[in-house]
Amino acid sequence: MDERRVITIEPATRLEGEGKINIVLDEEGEVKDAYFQVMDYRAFESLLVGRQAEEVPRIANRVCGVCSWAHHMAAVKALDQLFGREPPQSARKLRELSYCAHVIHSHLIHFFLFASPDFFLSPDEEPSVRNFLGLLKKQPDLTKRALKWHSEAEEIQEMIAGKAVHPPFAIPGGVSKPLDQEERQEIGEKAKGILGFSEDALSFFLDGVVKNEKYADLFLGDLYRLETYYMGLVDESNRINLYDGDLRVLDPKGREEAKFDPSDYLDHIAERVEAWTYTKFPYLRGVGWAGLRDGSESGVFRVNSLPRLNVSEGMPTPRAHEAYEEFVDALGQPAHATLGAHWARLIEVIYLTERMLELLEDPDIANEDVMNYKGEYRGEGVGVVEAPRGTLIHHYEADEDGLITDCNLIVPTTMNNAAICMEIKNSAGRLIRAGHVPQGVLNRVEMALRAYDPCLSCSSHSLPGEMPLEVTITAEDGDVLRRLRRG
Amino acid sequence: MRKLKLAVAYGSICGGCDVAFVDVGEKLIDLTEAADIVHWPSLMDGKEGDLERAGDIDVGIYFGGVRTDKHKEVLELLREKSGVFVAFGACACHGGVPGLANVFKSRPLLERGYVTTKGVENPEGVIPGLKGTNPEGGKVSVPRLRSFLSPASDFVDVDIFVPGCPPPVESVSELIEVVKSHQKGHSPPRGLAIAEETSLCDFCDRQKSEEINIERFRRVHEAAVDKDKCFLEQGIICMGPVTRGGCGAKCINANMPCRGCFGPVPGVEDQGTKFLTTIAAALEAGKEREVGEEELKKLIRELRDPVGLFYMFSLAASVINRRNSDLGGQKVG
Repeated sequence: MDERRVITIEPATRLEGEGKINIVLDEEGEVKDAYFQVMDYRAFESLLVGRQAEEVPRIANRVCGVCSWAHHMAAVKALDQLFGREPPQSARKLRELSYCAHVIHSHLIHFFLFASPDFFLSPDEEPSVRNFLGLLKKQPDLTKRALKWHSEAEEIQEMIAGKAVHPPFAIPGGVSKPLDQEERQEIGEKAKGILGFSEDALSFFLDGVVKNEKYADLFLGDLYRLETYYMGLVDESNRINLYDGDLRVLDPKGREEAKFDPSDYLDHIAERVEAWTYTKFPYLRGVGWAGLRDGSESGVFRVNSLPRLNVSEGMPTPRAHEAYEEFVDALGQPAHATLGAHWARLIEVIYLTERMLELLEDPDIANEDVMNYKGEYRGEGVGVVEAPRGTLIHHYEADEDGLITDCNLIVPTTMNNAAICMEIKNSAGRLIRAGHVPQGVLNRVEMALRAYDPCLSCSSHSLPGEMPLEVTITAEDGDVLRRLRRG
Repeated sequence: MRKLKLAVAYGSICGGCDVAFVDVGEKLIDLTEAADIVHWPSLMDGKEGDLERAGDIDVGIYFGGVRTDKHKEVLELLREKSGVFVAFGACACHGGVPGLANVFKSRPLLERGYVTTKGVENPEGVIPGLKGTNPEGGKVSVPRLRSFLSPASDFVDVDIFVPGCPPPVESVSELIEVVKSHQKGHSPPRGLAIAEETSLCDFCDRQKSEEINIERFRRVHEAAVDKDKCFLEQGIICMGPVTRGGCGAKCINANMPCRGCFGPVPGVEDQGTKFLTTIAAALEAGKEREVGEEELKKLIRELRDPVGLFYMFSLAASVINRRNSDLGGQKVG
């Protein structure tokens, strides 16, 4: 028997530990391995089989209650193809409009409720204070505004689609209802408010964090940095788009590795299975699996906000583009600094709001013709969107009666699984020395995870507050040697 | 007035119930005034051990279905400690969408997910929890799946059911009111459901005849839907007649038929079977004469996926699913 110790961290926003970390120390007490585990399986790839294909957008969204819209949209785009139907422009734009509101909603929750307490209250603050309530005390105005605009984004979703969580709205070939003029105006007012707030939020972040020397090392140092491949959706000019486009892959040096129609994803992405986690490990088929390591020889790739900005050559809207240029100047292209994901999310909120305002101006948006009932049935389709947490793929096949016969879902947290494992090993390895586990290691390891806004199952995504965390150091015989807790 | 102790614990969840709860907004502050939240994984800095250490809990709220033994353990622990136990959301009440997987046992589910799915490179057929190497002498492993997914009420007595996928904000507000009045000493009746006592049809504004009649079935993507007329009368499957009201008819108002996330109307044990008899009657009405068994069969055969449509949220709690287990389960009161 070796003398290695296993440190179990259960960030697991879930009690039963759907998300769990094990850090293995060698005989010298140095970090040898790290395992990030997902502890539940809900079998959507099986339960979708046999379903009437047009019902799938209302079933597959139940994969995740936090990003139900991303699953709703990826599913319906796959089914547009399966039924051979191009939705009318009005429906396409209504989908994009509501989807923009959804991603804004998700990004604001993540930034203000998860991420910002680390920065505005300092990562070393007492755990009992370093949470959303602490932020409310220290920055009451900003925090209340964040809550207000987050709920306005949510109301926009409900106005357009009936329900904000698990929407029934999108049908192959279109959507279930048009937008009326009154709603259009009201949404426009809300979007203007969100734009103003998102610009303030970005300045707040730039002044308080980016320009703050205390954090320079966190952004630019090696604690949170991986040189991986990156993937994300881009439009025809290689600019960001979350609803539609081609998938573009950059290598760690920033060179284009591939750009492809999402329907060809199987030529580019393979998945590996490990017995110790319910999450698979996707990798670039062309590069191959070389274990949990970064660099151009390893097929590990990342998706999320930072990768989206990396694969884009600019933002399609003016204010977001300005913010993007500042980001690239500071972090480079591609940016490998993992925590840059927070910055990138705020830039995306600006883009998404500007995009909403563009769409609301578009005459198509209030057109009552929101369904195309004609098309040549194909029986297969692939739908891809950028979920708040990265590229999301849904792939369906159906028989001549329109019943699903096969499906494949690849969710963003799964795509980031290898990187998350590496990130944990990396940060733990730098913080744990000679078996010594300082109290601060808990939050520092969490910060690596948080940058990915992980969504296990696909949603071990925690809501307000912070991930509960406990580190147990266990001897080989199972005796608990030491227990470290936050709070 | 003594402050209550409240805990939230999870089974197999999607996160939507957390979002629904938080969407109640400022009302959440009311809740924290009536009760100390001693455990809530997504909101609080808590661990499994906290629940064990918490002593007695006044109100325990459970989200999600029971998919692994770990989920069951947590469920039973929460029930044991809680004076009032709340099954929150469609999964806890009736199994929810993940219950649709109950037409298979867990092994074929896992084989599809990890071995035969497109794009998976797994020549050795590794399956989490079943086959393959668990590192560190087996210490790094995942809990095995139970054969089937079950709603919470299959294992424990439920005091309050809050149906919906997810439950609407209005239900969350009402639950908070129940907690506040519990604090004042008014215990909720056992088996209370935060929902209406009659079917969704009573809360739907669409025009319908006295007696629903269906000529033939059609699917929601096939032709334009009249937004003012009963879905069933247009031949579109809508679970409204057998589904408990209380959702605010949000899908209906978005011009989409009901799929039954609130579970069966009171007095009905099996949502799907009840629906089948309802539409059989509606088909008869459409013909204004006795419909022969053959003709009825032919019409019913137009429904390609009765399991998915009639039991989208309640298969795990259905009578037909009981052959898979000897579990009785408690009816939503």
